Amino acid sequence: MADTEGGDVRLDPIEAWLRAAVADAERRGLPQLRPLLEGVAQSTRQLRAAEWNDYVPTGRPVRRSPEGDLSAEALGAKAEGGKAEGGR
Amino acid sequence: MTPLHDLSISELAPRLAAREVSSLEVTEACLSRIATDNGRVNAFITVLGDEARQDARRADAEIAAGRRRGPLHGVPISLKDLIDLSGVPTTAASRVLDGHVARADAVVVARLREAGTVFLGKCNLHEFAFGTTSEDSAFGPVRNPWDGARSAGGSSGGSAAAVATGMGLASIGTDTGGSIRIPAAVCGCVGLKPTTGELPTGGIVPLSWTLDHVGPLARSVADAWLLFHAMAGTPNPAALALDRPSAGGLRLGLPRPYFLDILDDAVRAAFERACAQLTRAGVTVADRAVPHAADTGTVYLHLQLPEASAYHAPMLESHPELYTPPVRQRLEMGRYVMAEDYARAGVGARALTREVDAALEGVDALVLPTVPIVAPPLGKTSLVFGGAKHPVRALMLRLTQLFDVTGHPAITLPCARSADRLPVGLQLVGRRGRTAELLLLAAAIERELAGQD
Repeated sequence: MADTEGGDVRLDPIEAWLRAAVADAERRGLPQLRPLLEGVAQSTRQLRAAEWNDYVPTGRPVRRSPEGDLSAEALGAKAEGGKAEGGR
Repeated sequence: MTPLHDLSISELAPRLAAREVSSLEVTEACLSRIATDNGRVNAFITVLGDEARQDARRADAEIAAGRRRGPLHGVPISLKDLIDLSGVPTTAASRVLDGHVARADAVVVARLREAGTVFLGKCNLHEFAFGTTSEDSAFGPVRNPWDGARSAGGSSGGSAAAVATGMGLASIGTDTGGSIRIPAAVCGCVGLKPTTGELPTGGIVPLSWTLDHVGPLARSVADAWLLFHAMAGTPNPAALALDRPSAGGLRLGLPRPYFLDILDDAVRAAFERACAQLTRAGVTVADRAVPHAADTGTVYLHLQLPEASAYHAPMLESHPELYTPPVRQRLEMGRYVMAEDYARAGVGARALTREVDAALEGVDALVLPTVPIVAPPLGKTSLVFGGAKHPVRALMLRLTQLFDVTGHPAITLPCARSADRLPVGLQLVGRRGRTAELLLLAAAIERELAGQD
């Protein structure tokens, strides 16, 4: 689940989250959370892939404003195109 | 002649008003039933015998003095034990709340008290309402009244078992993903989840602030109507409104994709028979769809888990060992959900709401099964049917949780029994803010389905 960008190897964000969550759970003496957290990760992938998230730039190249925030212009264009809040 | 503890509220109320029977007699009949049956089904955590008798005597005196408050006056009911009743412990079926005694009535309890109801006790549930089988309880599992080796559903399992066995004429439960409708369906009762926000949840231990609902479990739609209105603050609704002569002419939408994809044989057969019977009675059943229904579970998870964990965080830090292990693990899991995904789930909820609104266009209500399976055996975490293995928790929530997410009112009615005599429920879903209309429609459907087996 790794990706490369600019020569750096980057973990898929959900995979990175899962690794951190499992490590934290084990540190807290809760290793039995691992399969549950793997289930949450699977569910989170589904959530982020849902069509109503099309205007949220998940896992795709992000257009950023000069300040580094998400481009309000891009979001507005999506909303005007009828895809804001997901949907059909 | 129907025993007093098996009467519906609608049957009992005129007899109480006419003083043909006293509230104390009915209350004693229910307490007697609790004494003989509670050991078998484990529906009650706290029984309030003396207090109930005292309330019943007061109701009888007021009725005798010409001060009858309405159709619920003197009617004995129970409360799920996460709903506060002043001066009585609220356990939420957990050792975490040991020693906690409610200092005031929950808002809906205060309204029911004002309407004159008698409180028999507090019912068992899945710990903190965080489960669908009522197995994980500090007070032991609730057993299905029709087969003690099976679950009563959950989380309001004790409430449903109590209503099904005559241990009270009705009960008040809560529904976050289906916790009123699921146990009502598998125990053979009526269960109503109103529109989000219609009934106040103040004084009720929360599971998920945005998804929690309170509502009645009862023996008939008419009884649910009375309890719903009392809890809404309108304790004397016009009973005549329920007298629609037949279901003929009603239009129901049937969302087949997703909702009929995974059903066990008994539920599928019962649901098809019910639809055929309604069609013969002149009801139009038209196909509908909720295009993103399959995303309901993921939206629900990302809303419900972090909200539950937020409420429980202090107790998870101070007394984690007091939770049952499965509930503690689910609560701990919620602490890892990312804020951005909680926000995405909120967007998803709004999208699903629009889709259910659209599915209701041109029909009076949606019709679908309530639970895809009959009551599951206690201890089972997965079931195999249709060539696939299914987690019990996901199955139980599959057909109900969407309407907690979207806020639409939904009601389950008994529609049939399986070959093993296990109840099967039929679910009707109405427009947001129109719970009373849904109840009127459900009363007509209930009449058409009466006697189907």
